[in-house]
Amino acid sequence: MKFNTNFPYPVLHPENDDYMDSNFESDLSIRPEFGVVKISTNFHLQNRGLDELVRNELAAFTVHIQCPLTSFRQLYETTEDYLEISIEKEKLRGRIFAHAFLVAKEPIENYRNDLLNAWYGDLEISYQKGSILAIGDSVESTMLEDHTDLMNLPAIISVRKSLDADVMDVEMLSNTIVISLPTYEYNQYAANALSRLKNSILTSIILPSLVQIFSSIKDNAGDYEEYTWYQVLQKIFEASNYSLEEVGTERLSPLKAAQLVLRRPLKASFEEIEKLNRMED
Amino acid sequence: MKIKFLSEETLLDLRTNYSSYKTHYYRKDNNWFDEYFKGEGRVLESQIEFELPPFHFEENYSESDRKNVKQIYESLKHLTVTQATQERLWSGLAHLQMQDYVFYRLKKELINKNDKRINTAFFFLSGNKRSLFVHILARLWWVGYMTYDSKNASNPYWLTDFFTEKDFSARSVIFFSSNFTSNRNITIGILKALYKINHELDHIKRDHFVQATKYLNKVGGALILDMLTEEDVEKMIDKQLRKHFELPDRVGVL
Repeated sequence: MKFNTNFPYPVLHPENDDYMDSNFESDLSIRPEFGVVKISTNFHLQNRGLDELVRNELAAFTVHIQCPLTSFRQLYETTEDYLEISIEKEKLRGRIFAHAFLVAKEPIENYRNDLLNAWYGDLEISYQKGSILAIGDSVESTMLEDHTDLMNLPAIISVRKSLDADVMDVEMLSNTIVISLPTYEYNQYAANALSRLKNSILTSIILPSLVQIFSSIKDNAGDYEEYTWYQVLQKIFEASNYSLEEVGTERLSPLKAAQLVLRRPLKASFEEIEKLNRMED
Repeated sequence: MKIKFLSEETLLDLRTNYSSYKTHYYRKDNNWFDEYFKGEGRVLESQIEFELPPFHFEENYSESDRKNVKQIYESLKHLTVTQATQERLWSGLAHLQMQDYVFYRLKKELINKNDKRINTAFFFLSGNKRSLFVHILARLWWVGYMTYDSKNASNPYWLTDFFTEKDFSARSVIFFSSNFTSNRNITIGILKALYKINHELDHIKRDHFVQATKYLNKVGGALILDMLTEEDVEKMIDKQLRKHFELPDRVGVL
């Protein structure tokens, strides 16, 4: 969830120089805990003028929480320097976003602040109720269902029989990636998937499918990021110090990415074939 | 009775092989569906009790949609929102316990073999969030949930009645696809403003909904709209729509 950082009025934010010698920091964290999701943060504000607005209750420290899938969207506010929020887990599913802000609680006319950049000079500044005065950090977390194994690739890929297709196909618009095989191929897959050639069979089906998936992700990530398979793949890549967004760049081609995820599938297949040949000799 | 839902395997099979099964849908072939769902592990029973809603089957969908939003929401108000985002639950109800309603509501699409709509009506094929307002059953529950005004004890469905009185399908998707309408104060505030203008103009059009959400998207870039009360949002939208559609200012208290 992206918020605008360009405003027609001064906002304290590390990426601009609207204020001098000032700072606003927060340390948001999101953690699931026995049926609730706890979101907490400290607020550190270093700017006397803005601090006075908080003390006079014209502004408040806030945390904005949004979970698009369950249509959950709430702003929590305090004038203290610490805020802890508990949300029942059953209200959240998929991705949740938390942002910390300092926000105007009431309209503020003729705003003055000694630490404003000289650029603002004698400009008359006013804020509406809801205007952002300072921007803190933001965090994102994914609430997966309990039965979803976070790092388990087979849990997010399903191989199915297609009764009318004559070639293999991949469907990505659901929480699980569905690979459809024509009837004969599927029956062979089902009969031999646990045989001595299981790695070779998996490589011939999963590897090209992942290449297609990773090629598609590059330009269409926005269409997929809500799905469980995308979120699981994201975690798999993060665990190996890559990011899913890098797939399709020079550093990480779709073919390389697919082989990394499957952990050198060609090697496993050839070792299997070599072993089988040795047994036949 | 308890809600029945589809196993993941069954859901994937029906989705993947729709083109092979589609003639059974066109023919509303109950025998085939009964046989299919008898297969072991195809249907699972949840622990969620419910009463089958007394659906309305009028020829005029704008009449029945309005009533059925209330019927389904009353019957399944106890679902948690996470349960209500599950494809297996809605697809299960559409194929099993609420199939009669689905076949009634898809009468034209089944006759015309409109595979695209039949698919999006039974399954979540429009993205997880959007599907909630496109799926033939989920959209009834979600519009009920989003428009229910618990502060109005005598008629909590007054905004539901207004929202569903016309253009239900398009309104639901346009209005609830916006991120802002996830906030209850914002949703109720906009609907109250639209409701009042609707009374003045006799009937508002789709463009009034479009302009209201468009305006919020614009101001939402500079403001945290969630800081506003229901009344703040109502005033803001009222002012903007009057300006945009050149309507006279309202006299007196909102």
